[in-house]
Amino acid sequence: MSYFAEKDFFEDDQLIQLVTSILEGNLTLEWYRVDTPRLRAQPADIRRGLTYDDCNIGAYGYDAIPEFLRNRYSMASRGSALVEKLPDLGYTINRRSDVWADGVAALYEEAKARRWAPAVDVPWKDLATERPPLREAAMAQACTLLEEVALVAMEMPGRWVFSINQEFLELKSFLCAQMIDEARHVEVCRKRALVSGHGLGRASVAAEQALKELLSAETYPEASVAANLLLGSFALAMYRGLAALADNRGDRLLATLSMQDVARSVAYGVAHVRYHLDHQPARRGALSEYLDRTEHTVLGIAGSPEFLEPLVLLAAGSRDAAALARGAAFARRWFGRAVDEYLERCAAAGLGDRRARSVLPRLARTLAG
Amino acid sequence: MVLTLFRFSEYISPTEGDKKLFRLVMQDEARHVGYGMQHLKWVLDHFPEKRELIHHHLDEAENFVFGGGYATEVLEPFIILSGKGLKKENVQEGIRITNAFQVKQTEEYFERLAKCGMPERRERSRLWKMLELNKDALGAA
Repeated sequence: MSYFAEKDFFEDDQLIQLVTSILEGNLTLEWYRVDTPRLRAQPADIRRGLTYDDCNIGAYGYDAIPEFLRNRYSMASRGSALVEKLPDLGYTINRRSDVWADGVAALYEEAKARRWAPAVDVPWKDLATERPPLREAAMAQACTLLEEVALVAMEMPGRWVFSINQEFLELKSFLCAQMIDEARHVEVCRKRALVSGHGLGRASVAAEQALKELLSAETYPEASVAANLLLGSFALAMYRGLAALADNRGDRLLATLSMQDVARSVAYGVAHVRYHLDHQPARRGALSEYLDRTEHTVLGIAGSPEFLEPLVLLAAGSRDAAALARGAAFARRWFGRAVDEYLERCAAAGLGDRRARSVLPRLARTLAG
Repeated sequence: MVLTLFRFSEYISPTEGDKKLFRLVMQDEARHVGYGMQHLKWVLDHFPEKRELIHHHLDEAENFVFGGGYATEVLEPFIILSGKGLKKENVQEGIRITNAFQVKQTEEYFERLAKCGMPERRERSRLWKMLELNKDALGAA
């Protein structure tokens, strides 16, 4: 253990005397006289129940969190009465605009309200019948790569959540919901590959190196831009591609339900960057430079042969030349649209028009021929 | 310990809403306990040499549990809720119920450890010794 309580409680005569006294009926009631605001949270909409937005009241609400947390580093509930000697948990991310996003509490509520279970919400029996081998092989490979993506997207919040001050409890809860979302994507992609009969496909060295680069971001704002805005935008496009090319209800649901989850991460990513830059405009240059050197990773992931070829094959439907040409045309349009949407999100987040400085539009044009 | 704490919370809850809240929390905590037990059993089965290390860890962890469980911020609300009031007779009844709960909580913890393959924990645990004292106090009451 690296931390020990200041007393050995078993040897603490004072504590034992106090407990003995209480158990003799002499209650202290010190906690009852605590001077915290007497406020009552109430559901604004009974159909939604009592949400975190409803609990955004007075000193207990997230609106009351200051930009800099200077004296709250323990595990005390936000708004509770602080006493002396509360242990410092060693949080290193204590600035609100480094993590916060408007609407993050609502995104957390949505993550729970729209939860789904791959085991029962995907009609696996639709996929149990004899299916075209080429399509099944392509789906198994695409899902193998998407499982790699989801594993990293699951680990990213896990790397940071312990370092973030728990005054940001709604945000930390959202990061935990992201982990559950991504665990679900790991599960659904793995199950889809295994139900194909082809088993899992090939791991992608390009994708894995790219994903490791994203996972290795050195600050939380960079990590959030990397995972939520950049990777999230292209993961959303990848699932949308699979949804568009699905020839059965199971694959369509797999992709659209996953899109619904990833869209929350993208929404958080955009809102987080916007909030971050509104409060720390000098960081715009640093985040833009980070994207300049990091955007190449999407080519390693979405453009890896382990994803792109299955996408082309799913769009083609067969391996004859004419069909493959149609499939390739679909993939070029798909990539161009994914780049456009990502750049639009960057602009919406306050990163300005990146078309001139980003390598991605040029790449998309080159691919389009 | 926390699982039994939530079960006790459900038992003493004054409203159906509170009871449901704690019941649902218990459902989640029970999964954690289930995982923890299976994991500890697996570790002891595969790495029996770690037994002593785990005992040392529990020596310290049980100290935290004792300090946390007997904090006035926990103990007194439980006494009031289980006794259903602040009158002398309510408080006496609350103390009797809370004491019984704490005995049960600690016994269940040691039963789980025994099921995981650590039945000898009772003999070396100071928490168990405290439990024996608590039982004596209950018997005397």
